[in-house]
Amino acid sequence: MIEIVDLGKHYQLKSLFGKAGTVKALDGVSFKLEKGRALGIVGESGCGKSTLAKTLLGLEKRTFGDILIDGKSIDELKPQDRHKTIQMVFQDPYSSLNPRKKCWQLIAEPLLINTKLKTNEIREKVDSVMALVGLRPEHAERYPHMMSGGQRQRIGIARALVLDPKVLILDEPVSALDVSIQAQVLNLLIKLQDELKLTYLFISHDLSVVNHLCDQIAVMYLGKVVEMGPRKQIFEEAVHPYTKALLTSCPSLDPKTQHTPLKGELPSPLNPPEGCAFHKRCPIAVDQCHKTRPELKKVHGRFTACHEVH
Amino acid sequence: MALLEVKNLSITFDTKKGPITPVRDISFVIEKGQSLGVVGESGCGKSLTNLALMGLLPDNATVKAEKMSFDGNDLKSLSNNEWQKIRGNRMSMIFQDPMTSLNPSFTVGYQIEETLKLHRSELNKVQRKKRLLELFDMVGIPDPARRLSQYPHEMSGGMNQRVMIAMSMACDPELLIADEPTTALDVTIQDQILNLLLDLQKQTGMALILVTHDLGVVAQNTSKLQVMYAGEIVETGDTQSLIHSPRHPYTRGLLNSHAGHGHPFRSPLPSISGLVPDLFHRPKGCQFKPRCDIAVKECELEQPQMIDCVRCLKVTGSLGGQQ
Amino acid sequence: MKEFWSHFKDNKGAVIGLALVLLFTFIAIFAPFLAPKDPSQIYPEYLRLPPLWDGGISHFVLGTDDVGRDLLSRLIYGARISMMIGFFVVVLSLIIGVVTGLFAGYYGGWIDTLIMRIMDILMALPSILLAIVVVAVIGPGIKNAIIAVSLFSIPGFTRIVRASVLAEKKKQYVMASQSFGASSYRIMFLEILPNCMAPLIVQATLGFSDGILNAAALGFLGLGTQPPTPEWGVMLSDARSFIESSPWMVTLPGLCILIVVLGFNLFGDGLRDALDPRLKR
Repeated sequence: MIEIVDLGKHYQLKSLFGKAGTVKALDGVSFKLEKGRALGIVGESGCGKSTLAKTLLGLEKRTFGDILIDGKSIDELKPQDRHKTIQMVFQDPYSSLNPRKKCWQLIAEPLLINTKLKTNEIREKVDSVMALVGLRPEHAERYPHMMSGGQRQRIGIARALVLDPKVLILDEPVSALDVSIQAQVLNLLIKLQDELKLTYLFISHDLSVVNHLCDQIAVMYLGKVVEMGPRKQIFEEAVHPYTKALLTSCPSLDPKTQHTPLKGELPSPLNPPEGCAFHKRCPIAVDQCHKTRPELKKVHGRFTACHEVH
Repeated sequence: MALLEVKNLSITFDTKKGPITPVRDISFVIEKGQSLGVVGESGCGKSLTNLALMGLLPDNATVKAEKMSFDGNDLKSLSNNEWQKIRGNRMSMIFQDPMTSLNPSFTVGYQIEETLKLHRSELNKVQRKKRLLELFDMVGIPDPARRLSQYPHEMSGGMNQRVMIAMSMACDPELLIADEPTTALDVTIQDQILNLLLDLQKQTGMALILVTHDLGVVAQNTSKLQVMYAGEIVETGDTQSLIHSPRHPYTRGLLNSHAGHGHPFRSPLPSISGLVPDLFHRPKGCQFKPRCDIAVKECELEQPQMIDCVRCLKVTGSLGGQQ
Repeated sequence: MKEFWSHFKDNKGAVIGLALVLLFTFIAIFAPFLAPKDPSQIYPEYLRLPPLWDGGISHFVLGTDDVGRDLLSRLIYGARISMMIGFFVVVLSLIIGVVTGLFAGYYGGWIDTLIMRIMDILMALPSILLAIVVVAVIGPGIKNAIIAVSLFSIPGFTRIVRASVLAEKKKQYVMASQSFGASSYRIMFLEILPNCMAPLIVQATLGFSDGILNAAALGFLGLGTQPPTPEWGVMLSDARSFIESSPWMVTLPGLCILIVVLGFNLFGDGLRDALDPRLKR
């Protein structure tokens, strides 16, 4: 349905003395997103997941690569059609809603900009999508600050759904919410996906949430995908050393297993290491890892980019 | 003698809308070398309690407590001078966002040295420098000599948090309060920092209060757990026992709604209906009753007391009068 | 709104300021009904009459000027002129300042640099001097005085709006609007601008008093409002030679300027304190 082919986004940093360096926020990412499925994108800061979201939405122009929707390049779509295809639910329910606008105005805005519907038609659509996400009619006239975090996030979801998109990008949609509210919003997202046959790109750092909702998982590090495959395989039989480190460091409810935390820190994206971007922190790095960048290849039923995995 | 003893602590704020009591009658005890996890959602009062313990509440806050003592010293009646001797010295605190807790205008070395100058005035410049290098080594900052003269913005979040920890360890505190220390950090860095805190605890024998909303973090890093709701402690106990056999309906609900709690793929997660109470208009009786799945009429008439480490009339069998 | 009002009420200076502002606005609007006489009517028999308490007559409560015109009526109409000047100065500089601030903050890059360097130049030179130069070039008169003074009030608004825009631009609601195709204009004017209101209102209030003061200064120098228009600055200038013989001719217009400017400043400061987001819970 959506195919990302070798997508890349480089930012050129300028300084007084000319080019100061390149930040390779996204450096050649490829994957397929099938209709009705949920792909989880997992990674830490600087891995490129936000840049991926922005590039897909069209907020950033890609530097190279292509985005194909049903086989056709996304550039062939008119902006309005693009917006009607892909929408996003943002992370922060506090800053992602304009504090000066009422709930219904916030949800109606995409319709005002992208369609020629009359006011009463718009109001009807807003009402129906509000009901869909569990907001009551009396919420329509309220301002965001009068509503709870969970309700605000529902407004964000309603706003993303109002153009009837096919693909929804969810950028950490529950991270800013309390645990008991996270469950409610996750349940809503699953219900909506099933009812409306949506395709999800679910970005999160919370592995237990991703494990609960997504059938496929892609792990990113410094702008590249390092492991990608079906959920169960990634969770229970991860092979890439970074994925393994990520899984062991995620605190679960069971007692801690003895392990050494992953050493070092994320390298500066301005100066990524030669060869494999992970080699300086990798517990199993060998000589080859310093020299050549590993390609994504199919191993044990999933894709991995690691020299040491066969 | 316990290291920290708190009995019936209440914090009241005087606001334009009237008085508000975000923390009500909480009592707990920390022994030397113990690690206590404090868990609760936003607005439960966990951070305010920490500030009260450190004497850092604003002027419009009134702290009432039957007992609040650190190593036998009564914290309620300390003068500013006496607070200075304890705060930063025997009791330290680290905060959530290292980027805003450190002063951006001074080097990190200078900031830690300030603490030493204040509490270890017997050290001279050379001895202080030595201690700074020791501290950086202890918290795992590589290349310490160079790092000492760096500014906070030149280092990553994880590094800055290590600096915060170094600053709080500078005077060998007996109690370290960590308020959401890893919430703003990536998961692999969080792992490093939590490991560091536990190592330091083992090395120095200090007690640790770890405050967070993340159940996984307390499950793996604390031995005793305390669950807070609407300014009250609703359940305490040994961490793993509490997590695997919660008794209070709120604790149960919280653990159940956790996505990692063994729920089938994409099944609806159980959640706690309703919202936290408006602290200006607290419900009568049990604060959790409006959202509780096992509540009965009596729960809104009587305020439950902490009995046998649980604050719940039904669970402790105290319906129809306290035992 | 209620919160704001209760903060505001507590500040006694602010309330006094508001009262003065309202008083002078009232006087300005109802000048023809309040003034006992026509301000340009000359009474040759009553030249330089002192006010009532200094040996004058009840016919001319505050006395007359050197040409025999009723001072009270002139001051009342003077209020109308000063308030009007202040109003137009604020409206003009606000509109231009808001637009330039929005563009500079939102687009950044060379647009930002260009606009802000122009503003820097405007702010670097002493405003009164420049107002004098501008008026010397385009000619004296009330309309040109307004233009000249507005020119130098623009940078204040631009900077405030630009700062707000830079802060709001980072917020996710701007990104959200961009993601469903809102045009830059829509985002600047309909999304961001409503969130910059608080500092703008304060600046507008203070700009009012600056406008009045600067226009009076120009009037005093003969470069702004021209006689016989009863503008307070012009009245001050006319009365210069009579400081010792008829001191009230100087004092009264001067006092008026002082009170109005003080009122607006107190009001503006009170507004700023009451709108300060840090005071919110």
